[in-house]
Order: sequence, then structure tokens, then C-alpha cells
Amino acid sequence: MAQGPEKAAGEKKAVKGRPGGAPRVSGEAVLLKDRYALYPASPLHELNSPTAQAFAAEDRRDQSNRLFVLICDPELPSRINAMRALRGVKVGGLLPLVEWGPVFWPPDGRVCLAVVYEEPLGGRVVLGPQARQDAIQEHDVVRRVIEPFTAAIKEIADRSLTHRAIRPDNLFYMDAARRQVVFGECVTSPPGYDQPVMCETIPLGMAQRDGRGPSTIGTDLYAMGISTLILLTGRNYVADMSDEEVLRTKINQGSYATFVADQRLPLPLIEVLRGLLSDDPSQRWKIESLDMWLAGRRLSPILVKPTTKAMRGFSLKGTEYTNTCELAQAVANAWEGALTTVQDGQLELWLRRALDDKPRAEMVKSAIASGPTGTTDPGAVADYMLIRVGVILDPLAPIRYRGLNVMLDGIGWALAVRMMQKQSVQTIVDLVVRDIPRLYTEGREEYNPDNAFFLNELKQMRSFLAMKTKGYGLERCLYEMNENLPCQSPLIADQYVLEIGDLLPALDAASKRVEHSRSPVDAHIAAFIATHFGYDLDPQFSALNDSTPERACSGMLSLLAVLQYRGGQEALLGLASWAASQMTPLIKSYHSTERKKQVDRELPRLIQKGSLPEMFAFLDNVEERQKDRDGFSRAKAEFAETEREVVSLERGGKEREKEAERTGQQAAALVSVVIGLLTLGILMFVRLF
Amino acid sequence: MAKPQARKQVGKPKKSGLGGMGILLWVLGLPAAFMFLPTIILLFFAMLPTFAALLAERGPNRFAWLCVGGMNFAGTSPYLLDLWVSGQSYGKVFEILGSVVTLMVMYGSSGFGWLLYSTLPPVVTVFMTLSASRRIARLRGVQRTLVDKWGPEVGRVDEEEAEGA
Repeated sequence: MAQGPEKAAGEKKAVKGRPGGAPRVSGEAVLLKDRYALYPASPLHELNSPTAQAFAAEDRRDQSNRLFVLICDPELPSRINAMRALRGVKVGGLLPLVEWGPVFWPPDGRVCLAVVYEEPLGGRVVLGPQARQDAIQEHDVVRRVIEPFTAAIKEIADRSLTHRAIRPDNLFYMDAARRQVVFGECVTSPPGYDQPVMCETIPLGMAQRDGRGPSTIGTDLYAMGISTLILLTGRNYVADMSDEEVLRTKINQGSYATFVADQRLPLPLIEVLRGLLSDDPSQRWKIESLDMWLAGRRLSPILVKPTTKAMRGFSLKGTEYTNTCELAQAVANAWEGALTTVQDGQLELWLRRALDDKPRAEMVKSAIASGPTGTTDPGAVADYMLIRVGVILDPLAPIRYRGLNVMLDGIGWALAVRMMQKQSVQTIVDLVVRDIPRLYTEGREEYNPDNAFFLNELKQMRSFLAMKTKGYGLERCLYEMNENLPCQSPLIADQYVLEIGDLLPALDAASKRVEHSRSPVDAHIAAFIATHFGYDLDPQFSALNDSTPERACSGMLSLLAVLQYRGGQEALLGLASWAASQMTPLIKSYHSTERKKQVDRELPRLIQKGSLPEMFAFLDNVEERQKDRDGFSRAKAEFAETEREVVSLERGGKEREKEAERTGQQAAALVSVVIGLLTLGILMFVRLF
Repeated sequence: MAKPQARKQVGKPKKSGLGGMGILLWVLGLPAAFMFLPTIILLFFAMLPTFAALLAERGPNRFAWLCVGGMNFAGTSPYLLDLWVSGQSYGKVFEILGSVVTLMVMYGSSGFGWLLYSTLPPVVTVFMTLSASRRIARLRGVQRTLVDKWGPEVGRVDEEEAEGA
């Protein structure tokens, strides 16, 4: 759990001078993991990341360590898996990540994720995209840039990760002498989120920033190539261009030509830069290629194939397109506006005649002719056709669907970003429900086993989306696709709950400020539990989603009780009280007033114990419940029997009168006859004796 | 299969006239009637209110004549004993029947019979009504206890039960 603010020793603090005499840290400190003091009052603006602010930090055990902390944007998912993997890794070329964890951050008044790094003493290498800096000398580039960068990317790749934040303005000098260049942080935002289009490969540059995904190590090598080139030349030729212009230039001229332009590069470096900046992923240099090159082996130079240009342009919405890559993007942007143009055969004709690409023309013809399977919705038919045509025109492009441009491995990230920022996610939901990513993978020539993994995952997501109950639905998809996303429930979102073990303590803390009329298990919490809890919870979810309030209550309490029991949490007084206040339907479901009174007597004691399993065992005791049911059935039968008798007595007034009259007459007759006989008998007795 | 031969149930011819018992009654009854004729005469006149009640009463429950008859007989029995003691003479019969007091006693006693007949049924009715009210009160008490113990749902008729009913 997050730790609260702590006053640093000696109250206000001002220690360790910075160059220029200003104190490095001041104000109260916040402790991370009882070791790292973070100073909210000491911002380090020069070390800010695009989505994370930098502040001074200290290691309480080793004050000689120069540290700084990045406070992540709470409305943006962070790369927790990368933090876990890179914590403590020290390799040349990578800013060392010292520690990370959630802390209560006073300026924001909530728990935020803090990532502590060693401070790069030489500052930032390039101050901004358009800033110019001194070029690193040709003879230094290999030793100071390419070697450490390669080592860093290799280290990251060994951990099955990608950096995805390699860009000139995220490079730092680790030493004060400004010799050792390192990659900056890569964990505070989604992969590729902060990357300018110039540092992304062409397909990734087309994707929206939240849907770029972790991609492959090849994209890191591409970004490394761009950064190396800019460090080498000291100039960024595309700095003045818009993202669209950069992308268009890359498509038309190729990345290498775009960035090198008319510069003269040192001959030994041309090979490596051509290799890294290749726009063909299959030709782009890999780590092994770099290793061999660094070891002195010279590889066969890569021939940059220019994009095939059509003899005449294809006109769409008033713009002429001469290559399929740009045209595919234009079709995706126009979407329904491009439908007529695609359907009337002009596109097929253009591919056949202007581009002389008969196989692709045939594929487009076939895509237009063959309807989609399993749908009769005309909108869906058009969508499927446009998607198929888009994939045929540009097989490497991101998944494009009604304004959404995401990579296959970026769908989960896009969902997380948009849900955290309270944006609409309907297009993503439609994309998953309609199984559109499958069209993309089927349209690609090369088989990628990773695609099968993602498609299977999306298949499972579809099944979750089909279920609208707690523990499933969109929220379940969110956590299944983003395992390291903190729980987004409004009840505990400000507590940054990452682990299932922290959930109940967070709810316990929330119980002090949340109205107890709200259920402690909302859709987010249920989905978070379902994703992160390693045991079968189907019975609990089944009960939780039951239409009868008492079953739903029982399911909710059972769910929380199982969590506390398995997690071994101590007493949770606040949560116990909160849960107990939700138990009215469950208590009311008992028929016996005796039992209800017993519950009323015992419940405060159970709340005081803070044990949810005990509370559940008491409130939903199977034996007691059976006893109650049986007793109630008997009582009901008895009541009905008495009611029948009462009704019979009340309705039988006239019959009773008749009966009474008859009985009275009989009695009178009997009395009269007896009197007559007795009289005779007595008189005879008197006369005779 | 052979067609079963239809058997005609030939009913036994109904016996007409008196059976053995009837003949016996006539053989013994007629001499006895002649032997006890004074008693019969006395009873005939003394029990006239009873015969009137028997003839006048209608409906399934005919208890009035029994009521009147019992008391009428009680009023007649002292004189009947007198008659038997005196050896059943016709003179004694006419002496008894000729006395106004005697007739008043005999007929007056039948009046008590009527009185009994008319007063006892309402008393029984009141008794039975009170008894039913007490039973209802007791059952309602049982129901109240059940409701206190199990809540008002205990008296609610389930939809299924209601449909079944």
C-alpha cells in the first residue's frame, strides 16, 4: 500500500547544494518503501517526462546516490511490467530504475505511482525536437552511442520487453562530464505514447498514440537509428514538419532518405543507419546484425526499395494518391465517403492499370464481390469490405476502423487509456465484437504466431463483452487486457490498487469516506477480482449477479470473505461495517424473527472483529438457513390451516344456527321424554312401595 | 363364441296383504286392545295435544311432538297409574276425563313441552355461537403468534399456491 507523507528529519529541509548554490531538496518528504525520500516541493522540471513530473529524491540509506522521482499521471496507464523487469538493472545506455511503487502524493491529494531513477548528472542531450545541439563526433558515435544503446536494447529484449520511448529528447548524459549517453525512462506512459511520429516506423506512426502497443524490438532499433542519426549530425531535418508531413515524406522517400536528406554521412556509419532505418521490417537490422557490425563484420548493404508509385494518381475526396500506403490511409479516414469509389471498380482498375499490380487488383475485386460471413447488417457489410480493401492496400498498417487506428497489440492499451480518461470506447468494443482484427491478420501474407495469441485473447474478450454482469463485461476486458492496470473503481481509484492483496485494505480505507449505501463491489472491483484472483469464484459471481437482493448480498459478502480468507488480511473493521450495512436484504430473508434478533445482537460483535469470513459464516449459515426454511414452511402450513378453520367458522353462521336449532330441539325432545318416563317410574315406585 | 343366453330376470310376485308378522300383530294386538281399552281411551284423550303436535309439525326435524308428548305423558302418568290401580274400569276413565283439574294438569304439562321446545334451541344457538367465537379468537391468537415469530409473510398466500387453489 501507499505510504503517507512523512516529515523529513529536521522539519523543513534544504540539503545538498545544486550547481549554482540552490538547495537540492526542500520541504516535507514522502517516503517510498521506507527508504526513498521524495520531495514534492522540489520539482526538477528539466527531468520531466511528457506525462510525468520529476521531483528530487534521496536514498535514506545512501545519501551519496543522486536520485530523482517521476510521478506518473494517474489518468494514464503505466508500464508496470517494465518497472518490475527493469528495477535494479544497471547497464550502460539505460537510465537505472532504482525503485517504484505507489505513494500518497500530497500535491495531488491521492496515491500516485512514483518511479525513482538515478539522476543523470549531465542533463538532457537534446532539449527539444527543434533544438540543435553539438554533434557527437564521428569517431565517438560508435563507442558513446551505438555500443551502449545496443547493450541497453539487448538488455531490455532479454526481459521480453521493448523500450518504446527512444527519441532524441529522451536521451541523457549520465555523467557530469557529458560523455555517457543513456536512454531515458520508458515506463511512465503506454508504449510509444510519447513518441513523435518521426521516431516511429511508418505503420506505428499511422497508429494513434494510445494504440501503438509495445511492438517489437525492431521498432526500438529503428528509433535508435533515428536518434543516432540526429546525434551524429546535430540536426533534425524533419523538426519543422507536421506529423502528417513526416509520415508522407517517409512513405514516399523512405525513412533513411527523409532523415539523411542532403547530409554527408561518414561512410562506416551509412551501413548501420541504412540497416536500422529500413522501412521493411524483414530487412531491418536486428540485434545480431548490430553485434556483428560492432564486432567488425561488414554486412551486405541494404538496397532501399522506393515505394511503388502509380503512373497516375487515384483521386479520393479531391486528393490524388500515387501509392497504396497513403491511399489505404485516405480510405480509412474517409470511411463511408470512400465506399462508392471502392465499390464502383475504379480502385481495381487503378491498381491494374496505373500501378500494374494485377494480384492486388484481383484481391480487391474479390473483397468487393465476397460479402461478409455471419452478418446482414448493411453497415457491417460496408465496414468489412472497407477493412478488407484497406488490408490489401497496406498489409502492415494499423487496424483501422471508423476513425480508430490501433496496432493489434495496442488494443488493450488504447482501451485502458480511453477508459481512464473517461473517453468513449464504443469503437474499440465494436472492433472486438465484430472480430475485425482477424480480417487484418488474415490479410497479411506473413504468419505471425503472436497474432494467434492476440486473436485468442480477443475471442475471450468477446465472450466477456457478451456478459453484462458484474465480474464480466467491458471492465473484465479492461483488466484482462491490461494485467497491470490499477483498479479503476471510483471507490478506490485514488489509492492505486495494483495487487489483489491491496484491494481489501483499500476498501477498508475507503469505507471511512464513502457512503455505505453504495455497494463495496462495483463492476470494476468485481472485474479486478475476477482477473487477479487465482481461485474459482464462479459460485460467488453467480450469487453476486442474482436478481434476488439477498442472493446478491450473499454473493458480495462471500466474495469479500474469500478474499480476506485467502489473503490472510487482518481485521478490516471499516469494510466489515460497510459490508454489514449492505446486508439488510440478507438479514430480511430470514423468516424467523428470533433469528433476526439474534443477527441484530451478534452483528456488532462481528463488525468489531473485522472478520468477513466469520460474518459470512454467521449470516449465511447453511444449517440456520435450512432450519429457518423448514420452520417457516411448517408455520405457513399451520397458518393456512388455522385460516381455513377461521373462515369456515366465520362463514358458517346460518348453518350453525340451523344446527343449533336442531340440536336444541333434539335436546328438548330428549329432556321431555326423559321427564315423562321418570315421572311414570317414580310414581310407580311410590305406589308399589 | 356362443351368444350368451339372455336370462330374463323374472321378479318374484309381490306379496299382497299381510305377512306373518302382520298376522301375528293382529292376532295379539286386537285382544290386547280390548284388554287395555280403558288405558287406550285415557291416553287417547289425555295425549290429544301430542297428536295435534304430530299432525301440525312439518319439515325434516320433527321433534315438537316428542317434546310435547314427553311432558304430556309426564302430566298423564299419575292418572294412568290411578286407572291401573283401580283395575282399568271405564268409570274411572270417565271420572278422570271428566275432571277439569285433571285435564288442566294433563294439557298444561303438554304446554311445558311446548315451552321447552321453543326455549331450548335459542339457548343452544347462543351457546354454539359463543363457542365458535371463542374458537376463532383462539385461532387468531395462534396466527398472531406465528406472525410474531415468522413475520407477516407467514400469512401470505404464494402465487403458485393461489393458482393451485
